[in-house]
Amino acid sequence: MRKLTGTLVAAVALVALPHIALAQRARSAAAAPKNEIGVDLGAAYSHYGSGCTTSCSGIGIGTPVDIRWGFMANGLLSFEPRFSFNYISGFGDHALSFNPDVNVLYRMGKSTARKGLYLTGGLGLNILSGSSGGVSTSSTQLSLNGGVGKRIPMESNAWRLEGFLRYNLANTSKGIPSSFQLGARVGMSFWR
Amino acid sequence: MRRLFGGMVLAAIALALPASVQAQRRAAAPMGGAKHEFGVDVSVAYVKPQNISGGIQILTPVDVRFGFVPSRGNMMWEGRLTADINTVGGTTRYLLTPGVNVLFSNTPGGHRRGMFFGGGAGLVLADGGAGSGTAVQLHAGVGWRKPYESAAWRYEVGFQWQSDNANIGPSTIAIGGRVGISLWH
Repeated sequence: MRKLTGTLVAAVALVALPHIALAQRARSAAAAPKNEIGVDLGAAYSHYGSGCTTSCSGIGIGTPVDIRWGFMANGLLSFEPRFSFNYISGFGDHALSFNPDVNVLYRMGKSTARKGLYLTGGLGLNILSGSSGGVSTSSTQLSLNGGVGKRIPMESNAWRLEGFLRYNLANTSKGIPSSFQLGARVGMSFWR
Repeated sequence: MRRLFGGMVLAAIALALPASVQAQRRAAAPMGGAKHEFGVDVSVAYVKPQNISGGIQILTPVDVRFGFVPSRGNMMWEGRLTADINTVGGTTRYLLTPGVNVLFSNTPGGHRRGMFFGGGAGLVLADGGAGSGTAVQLHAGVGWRKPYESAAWRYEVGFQWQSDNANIGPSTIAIGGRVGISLWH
């Protein structure tokens, strides 16, 4: 009888073990995505300042704006690199455009990393390089941006809306005027 | 004693039931769970316009791709889009490239993993400021998805042809590949 009881207890423990392990795994998987990945449609009003003499403003709309790859954090702050890259060569010449950017996201109020309001600010570079007929040129422009956004959950993902103001500093040695952009970006965020 | 055994058997059944349901759900999810495949890529290609020397192009993000995952079958539709409209400087310039791809999964992994063949068509609608034009793009390729936690890396190599247009440029071929990440919802 004691043997039978012992066997039954062991059987119950064996049956219970995978269930408990599975529950723990499910909880940790749901609670700990590592990255927020997304792309957006962007629209902005742009205005060129110093050095601009003719028509100095206009509207721009585009997609994909860049790739944003956020790193999730337990605290209120998280970092989000964003970038776009385009290089083409031919005829012995080339053109390069590289726009790396790092933003900090600050969750507001009761917001979480998956929903709610956030504030963001960051800085980026606009690196251009080209050559034509053997003559090479290159320039770098620093930009600062700030904005407010909101994540709206949709099934396992979220819509992300963000209004922003970006200021691009002048690079006088290269003849690039300062400019600012006021706009919004709308996209989808995925977690993994 | 009989009551104790009965209780233990009931407890075992109660504990086993959710685990087996969860196991069944996990088995079904890869086939029918996700509705869309969404991804962004880096592309590298040799681009050769007609009568002009060719060169290498590296680009990211290439486009936005949004696939519709079927609940069954090995064929899947995928929309791709880039858009750039700009009025800065008083002149409207734009470049729109909508496209449709069809993917045929070639492995039992369905549309989540393994090899696939793809082909499609797209339009290039452009105005660089000197006049508008439309060109047609045709492309075909072969690719692989490799699961990476809840996402998947996606590799694709292929060939693309673009028709000529006076305001866009001569006909062009491109041979290359794209590497990116796919996410499902």
